[in-house]
Amino acid sequence: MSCDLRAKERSGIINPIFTCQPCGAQYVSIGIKDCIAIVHGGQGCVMFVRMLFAQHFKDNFDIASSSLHEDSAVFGATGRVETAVDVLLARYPHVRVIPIITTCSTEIIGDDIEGVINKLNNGLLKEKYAGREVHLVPVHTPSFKGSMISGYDVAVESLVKAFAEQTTPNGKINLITGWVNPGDVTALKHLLAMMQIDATVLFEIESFDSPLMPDKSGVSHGETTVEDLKDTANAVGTIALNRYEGGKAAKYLEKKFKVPSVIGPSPIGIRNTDTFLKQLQTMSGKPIPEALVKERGIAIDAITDLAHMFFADKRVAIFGAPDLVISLAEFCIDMEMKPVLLLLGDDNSGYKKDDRIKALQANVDWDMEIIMNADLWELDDRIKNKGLKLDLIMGHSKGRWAAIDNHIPMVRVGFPTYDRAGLYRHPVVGYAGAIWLAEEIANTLFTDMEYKRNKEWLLNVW
Amino acid sequence: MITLSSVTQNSMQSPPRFLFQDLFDDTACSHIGSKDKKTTCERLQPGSCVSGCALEGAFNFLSPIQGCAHLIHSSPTCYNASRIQKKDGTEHFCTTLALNDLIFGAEEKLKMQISHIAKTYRPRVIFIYMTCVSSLIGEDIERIAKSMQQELGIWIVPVMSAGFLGVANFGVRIAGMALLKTLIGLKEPLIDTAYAINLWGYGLSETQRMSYRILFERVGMRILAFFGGDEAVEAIMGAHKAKLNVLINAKSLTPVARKFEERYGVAYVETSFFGARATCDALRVIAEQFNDGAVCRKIENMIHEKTKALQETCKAFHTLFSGKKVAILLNGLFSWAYIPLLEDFGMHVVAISIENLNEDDKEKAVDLLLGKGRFMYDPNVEFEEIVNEEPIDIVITDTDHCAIASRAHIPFFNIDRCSNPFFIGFEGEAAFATELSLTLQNPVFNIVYQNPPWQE
Repeated sequence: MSCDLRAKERSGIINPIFTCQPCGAQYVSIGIKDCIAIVHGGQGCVMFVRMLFAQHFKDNFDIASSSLHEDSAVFGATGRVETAVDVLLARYPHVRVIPIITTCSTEIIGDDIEGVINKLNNGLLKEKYAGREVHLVPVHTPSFKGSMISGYDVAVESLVKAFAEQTTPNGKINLITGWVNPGDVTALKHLLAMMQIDATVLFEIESFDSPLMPDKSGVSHGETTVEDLKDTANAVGTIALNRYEGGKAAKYLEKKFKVPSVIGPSPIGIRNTDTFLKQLQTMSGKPIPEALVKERGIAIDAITDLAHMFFADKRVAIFGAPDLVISLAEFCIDMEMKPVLLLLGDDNSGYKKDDRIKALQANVDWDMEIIMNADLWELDDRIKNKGLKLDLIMGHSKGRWAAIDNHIPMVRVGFPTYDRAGLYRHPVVGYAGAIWLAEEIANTLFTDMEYKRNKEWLLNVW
Repeated sequence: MITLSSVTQNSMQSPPRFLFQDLFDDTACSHIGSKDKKTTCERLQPGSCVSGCALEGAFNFLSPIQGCAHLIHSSPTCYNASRIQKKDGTEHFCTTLALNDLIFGAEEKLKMQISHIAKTYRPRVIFIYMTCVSSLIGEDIERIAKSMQQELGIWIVPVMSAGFLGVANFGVRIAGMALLKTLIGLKEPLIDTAYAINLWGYGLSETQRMSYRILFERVGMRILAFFGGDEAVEAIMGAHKAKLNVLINAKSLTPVARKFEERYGVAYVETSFFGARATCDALRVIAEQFNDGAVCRKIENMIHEKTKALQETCKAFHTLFSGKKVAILLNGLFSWAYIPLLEDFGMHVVAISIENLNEDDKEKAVDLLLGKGRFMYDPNVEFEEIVNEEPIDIVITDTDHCAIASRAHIPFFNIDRCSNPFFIGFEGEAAFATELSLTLQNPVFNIVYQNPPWQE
């Protein structure tokens, strides 16, 4: 009867859950309109990440590399950044924003990115591209610190820092979504529209799910503009849905521009969505319309149809991004499931102080483990060698082998989910997300019942 | 099967140190050693949206080898992302360097990991990969590998594949060189080596490897070791007894093959088996090397028999494909190899991506196309221009690039994700034609790439 929060004891990693910091920064960069990031490092730092994006969205995104070579490693590589910016601007006439994302190698060499940007601003941009609006933004994401989650956090903060400037109040709300899918953004914007709230969504990635239009338009790229980013300083308030993905930027805006901020919880499940709507209500002063109460009712109806009959006492393991994992655990508890193992892929000193984890520790009445800095071997090892019994695994596609090898049903959530079709289209946030999650979990369990011939007759009479 | 105990300490002599010079000490590529270009082929310009690094190449070349552990000395991404291409969920390892390791050195961490892997998993060989980070902080993994090898009695192979050294192509070369310096020649093969050959390939799927095996078995040759394939470590150790090295679309491995020749006197041939024409050529080149009546007869018989059969099966495809315009949008290292295959069906190759090819392969592509066609360095940008100028009927593509094709409203055939990708030899040509015709005739392309009826 305990909930144990601790770091993994073994050194080294076997099958990591997360990718490193530049990956998060690159995810942020593709959310901005007319923006192509330059990753200052080896080519692999871009290629692997682009490959992940291409697998997840089945669509590809432009990210450039400064293609570091061994001579640069010896003599410094700032020259390659200069060439890269030049080549990029010449090739892509629409580019306005170029975040320069550092990697482990260039951070170790100690390339002075701010210096190069200064030099470029005064030299190349003035001479060769005079009259063209180009913003170069330094993003420091060495991969020996943190993970892709902290990389996302750092990049949002860097971009907001670079652009935000106070002019006239605009009465909008900043909504920092954190690392979500296009489907989530659609669901969040739906909630905002129902409450008639004007908001700046960071980042507007709905268009990652791009249509094939007759006129061949429709490139998958984010829609957040430079103006949106500048305007963040003039908002009524900031809501950062995920504490570890965008929380830093919200705090920065509060400190620098006195924009009040609310951080978390991620609106996954009924309770958290209720909290989110109440936050919106307090911040904007607008009422929550009856239509949303109806939507909430539909979601609750969908869940109650399933909860005690199929979900009760099911033992779940969840891995992935900290905010997602914790919120999913809360959602599972609401449905009488028992999350027995939570794996957080990185080691953040903030986890120990997190209220949500503290609440879990106070309320859980079964044995539950929360492992920080975990890898997928922690999950595999527990199932194979330590006798952990699981009824369900929730997490992203990299953990699929733990599910396949051990014959445990798995629900794919998070990033990346490349082994199921179109998951980026479905939300996990809001009431729509609660319905999708509950039904996805139920259907996965149903398929498993049929496959294993385990009380599959139950569904005859359900 | 080798167990830890059967490995005697005497056989564990440490390999010679890795010298960067070895990789360029070669005359196989006409651009290497020429005065004006210093030592390498043309390198990628910064600022383009490009493909993988040396680590990717090295890891993908070595990872199919059976019974080995792979330890990547880096932060998690280098490894995390490179393993997505792996077929199964086998565990591989990463040291996960953190800030303190960079300051104080990560030798202890690496040693701990090696002994943990050796004791828990008992692999026959542990490959340790150098990455950008570990090479910049100056980790001497060769020395560590040497000392751990003596301590644990297990082969430990350092692979000096720092990502900034070059593209994936170069990583393959580094990995090949590492094998040549360490494992090859350690054991005598147990099988008869009269007609034994080694195959060297890169990025081959299991079905592809299988069809190579079948092809060579049929002409009475024995594959001693399949580099870049799912070969047992023992086979690789005995590879020096082969009579011939056959490089399959593996330009990057020619320096390795040359070193192999210098050291063990095994000649090498460069071949391609994409399509019937290339296969015939390749088989004849191999027959020439053996200079053996029996082998020649078998090969000629097979070519005769297969070509006849193929003509029958492919008749229908010729009419369907002839005159069609095709573009090749492949990230891979042998995009040029598809040209003869496509031209055999009477298709015209209008554009080809050459972003990852070295100079000799680029020339090969130019030669094959007789100077016609467009060559793309950055398909993200250039492909759209080409499509605007010239209508294209179908695009051969991979996962990285298929979105470009679909955006341009052209039927595309994704080589990576096709259900049965064994386009090798004679059967391969028929299989390729079948897949291509299925794409070309797929009714979905009629719907999606046409305007809605009310807009016509």
